[in-house]
Amino acid sequence: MPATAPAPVRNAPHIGRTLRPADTTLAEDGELRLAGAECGDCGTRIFPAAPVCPSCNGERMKTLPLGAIGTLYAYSTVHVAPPMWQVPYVIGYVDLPEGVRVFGKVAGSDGVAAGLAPDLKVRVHVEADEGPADASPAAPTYRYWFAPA
Amino acid sequence: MHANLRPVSVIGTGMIKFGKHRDLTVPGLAQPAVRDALREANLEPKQIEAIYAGTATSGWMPGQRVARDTGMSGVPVVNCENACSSSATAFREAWVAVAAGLYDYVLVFGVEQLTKLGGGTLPLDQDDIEVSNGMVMPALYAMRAQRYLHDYGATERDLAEVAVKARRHGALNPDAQFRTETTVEEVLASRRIADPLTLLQCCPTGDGAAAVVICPTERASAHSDRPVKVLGSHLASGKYIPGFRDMTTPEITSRCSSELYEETGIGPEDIDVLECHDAFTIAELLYYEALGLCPRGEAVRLLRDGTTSLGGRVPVNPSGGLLSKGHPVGASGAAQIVEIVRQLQGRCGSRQVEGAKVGLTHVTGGGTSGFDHGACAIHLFGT
Ligand SMILES: [Zn+2]
Repeated sequence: MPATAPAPVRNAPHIGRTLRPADTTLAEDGELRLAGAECGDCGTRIFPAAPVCPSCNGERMKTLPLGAIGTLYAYSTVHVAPPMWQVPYVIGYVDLPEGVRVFGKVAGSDGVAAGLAPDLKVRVHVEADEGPADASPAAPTYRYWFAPA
Repeated sequence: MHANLRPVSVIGTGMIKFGKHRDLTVPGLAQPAVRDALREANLEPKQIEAIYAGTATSGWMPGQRVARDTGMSGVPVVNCENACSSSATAFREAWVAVAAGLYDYVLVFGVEQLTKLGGGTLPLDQDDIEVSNGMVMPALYAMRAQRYLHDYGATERDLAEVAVKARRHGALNPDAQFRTETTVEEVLASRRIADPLTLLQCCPTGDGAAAVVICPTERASAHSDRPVKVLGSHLASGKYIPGFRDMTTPEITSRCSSELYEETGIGPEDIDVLECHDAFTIAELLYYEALGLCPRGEAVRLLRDGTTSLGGRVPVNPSGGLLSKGHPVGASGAAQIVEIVRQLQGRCGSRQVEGAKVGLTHVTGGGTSGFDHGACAIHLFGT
């Protein structure tokens, strides 16, 4: 887990989309990270991974571990949204060092937008959710969000 | 223009006042607009050879349901869904068919009843990775706005001025949903939707319909004393860009307009009046640049110096635009065409752009991850 506790995130458990296990990877430091894919033919990099390259239609896609720190390109605090979301919440685009832009929930120091700004360095938090206790076999799911690094 | 295509003209227009029409049905919304367009073209329903309908949320066979109620059932009907560009796409397909010589008299209409969805943000595809993480259309534009303000030093007051202009124009349009003016202070103090965008910077929920009739130019003068020529028609789809992307560059609009300008030999300096897709205040500023009215980063200057207001060099959205006239999604493209045709015919009363000879309509939209937008349709018209 990160050295400092992540900021509180608004409207958990609806942090956002549940990731497939293949969208995450365990880094050498023991932290969960996002994983995308890179095309073995044309080099296009994507998140989330897909079996076919959207640029060249090639099928030689390889897993691409993504970095933990990115740059917040733009974000917005949303005040009006469908009922499934608890407003306000913040969404944004984060540019990762691998050249991949990832969209997701963002949590400033107050759980909303405090301290956020365009071009801010942010950390990608990936969280495992063990799923229902009675699930057999255990079915962990993963969620991710961004917070100031 | 493609050498093997016939010139095409618009000979009839019709639209209903945009607004909340909860008591009507989809065919009920479209019918008066369709009947007005036919009457204006001096055509009987039986003379219409094909119908192209544009709508995003009206269910199955909207074109057939309207044809049934207006004496036109049985002719080929094509229903087009292309998000906000639905009826502009329908118009393009109709133009292709007439220009190619397949039909002579074709009806195009757009219709949408957003009030039946219950208001709020538009429903998007829940399987989309961004939508399933909380994306809503206002937030997409809000992020463009944030980045534009950050990169070019524009202010939230500049954004608000777009809404003030839209409402000033819309106050002069009897078919507009909003017919009252507003102020920068009122715009900025309105409810927050997706920061930095406030309620009055977002197009309203509303219902509407608009229709046009087209025919070969050689037959147009028999039906209208002021037919308007279709000088060009272009449709583009979003390009999937998986990596970093400059959100202040509306890629699909830049590409669609430059291809159309090249195809027609008409440039932004030739345009006297235009209707663009101002679904949110920031959008209008981005589209000034993408349509070539000014270089990158200079849109605010055009707004401030009055270039794009009524009385300026190239009035933008004299109808009030999506912000004031309203944005019943699939109807907007056809409604823009109705406005520009009537402007070129000199029929727009207190919002008339004097001496307008060339006009442009631009509509885009469709939120899906990896695209600037899903679709964009641009048309050029001339007297
Ligand atoms: Zn590839």
